[in-house]
Amino acid sequence: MRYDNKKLADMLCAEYVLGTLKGAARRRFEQLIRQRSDWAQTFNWWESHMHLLADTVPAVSPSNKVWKNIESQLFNRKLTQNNNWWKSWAFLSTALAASFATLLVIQAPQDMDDETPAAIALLATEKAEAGWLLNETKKSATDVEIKVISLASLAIKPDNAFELWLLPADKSKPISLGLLPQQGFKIVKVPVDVIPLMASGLLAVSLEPVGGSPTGQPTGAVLYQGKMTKT
Amino acid sequence: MLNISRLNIMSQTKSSEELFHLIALSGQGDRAAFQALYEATSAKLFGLSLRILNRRDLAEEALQESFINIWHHAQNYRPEKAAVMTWMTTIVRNKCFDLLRAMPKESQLIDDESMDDWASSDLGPLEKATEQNESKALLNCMSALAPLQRQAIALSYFHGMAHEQLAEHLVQPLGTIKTWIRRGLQSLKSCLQGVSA
Repeated sequence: MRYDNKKLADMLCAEYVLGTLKGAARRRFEQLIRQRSDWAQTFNWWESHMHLLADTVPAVSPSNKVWKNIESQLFNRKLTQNNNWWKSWAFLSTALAASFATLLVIQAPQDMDDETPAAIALLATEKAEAGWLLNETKKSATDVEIKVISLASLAIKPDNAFELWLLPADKSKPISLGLLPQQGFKIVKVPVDVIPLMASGLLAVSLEPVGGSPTGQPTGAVLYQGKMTKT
Repeated sequence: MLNISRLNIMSQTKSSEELFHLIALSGQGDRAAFQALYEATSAKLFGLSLRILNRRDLAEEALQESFINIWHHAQNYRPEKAAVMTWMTTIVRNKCFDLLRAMPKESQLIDDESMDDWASSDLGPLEKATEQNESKALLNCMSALAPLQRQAIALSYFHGMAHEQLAEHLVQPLGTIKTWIRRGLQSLKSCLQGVSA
């Protein structure tokens, strides 16, 4: 497993467990993590630590009728058959969420890369649907690379291209950093004159015709945004 | 492997090993073990339900349905994935959020007082309730975060708020909220792993 994926896994697992991923983003994460058995350890770490928050809430005794109801529902079916059938649907959704964690397979820690990224960015939509993870590596002051990894949660658009732009902090014109892969990953070399602008600028992804913007400036809607964050 | 005499003091001790024995037995259909599990954990889990739903009737419904769920899925519990309490907390919290989503928005009340506790610089009141040393460590790390950052994390955890709702509730731009949460979580992890954040 690469260090960059570790960071991504960390962020997504943490936000999933915390509850900030909602709707489609949440479902995509659930799909994604089923394919990523190497994320299980990170996921379990966040689950076991985040739920300690529940321990900060004072204990309150529930009324006795709760246990009586549980007992009668579980062990005395005659009493419960009348009107509880529909509730099984509600149980199911909760049960799925809970058993989902138990489906994951623990794997031994994998080798980490020697090259540590200087900064990372997650490009996501306004609805927090993640598209790409960017991982900036500084080899020297003039040699900076970004590894761009497309995520399983990306909504693929085969008839278009996604183009990455740096929006400099001084509000000057967007600078193209090239097209983004819709599958797998790609290494983007940062032009030498752009390197100093990376840390303060914003990143944006526009939808363009196949082959990229014909004008050298964004022509389509800006769908994803992000910002480089030092690691 | 089960030490019966230790089970009898279950409600006082609640060690994770004992909870594991109880859930393993529940998974085999042992009703007494299941009742002991309920007695050992229900008050803590009911406290959580109440905090999330802020209504006693709904919190009891959530607890009841969660335990029925726990009984049916006890045999699927895997100790290598999560501690028993973590596993049960996940079930209860998800159940509460199901009920919360089904409520009309105007009746989804937030216990502002408890959220103020998270924004306060003194997390002492929160520490009073904690029973595990790990939770004290978590609180210690939470206290190193900026108050609003801490509150955003607590609001999300206890009220299921996504970024958009947090932005609305805390009157902050969405980007700011996302940054708070992400950095907050990163700092928490570094702190919990004993590395300076």
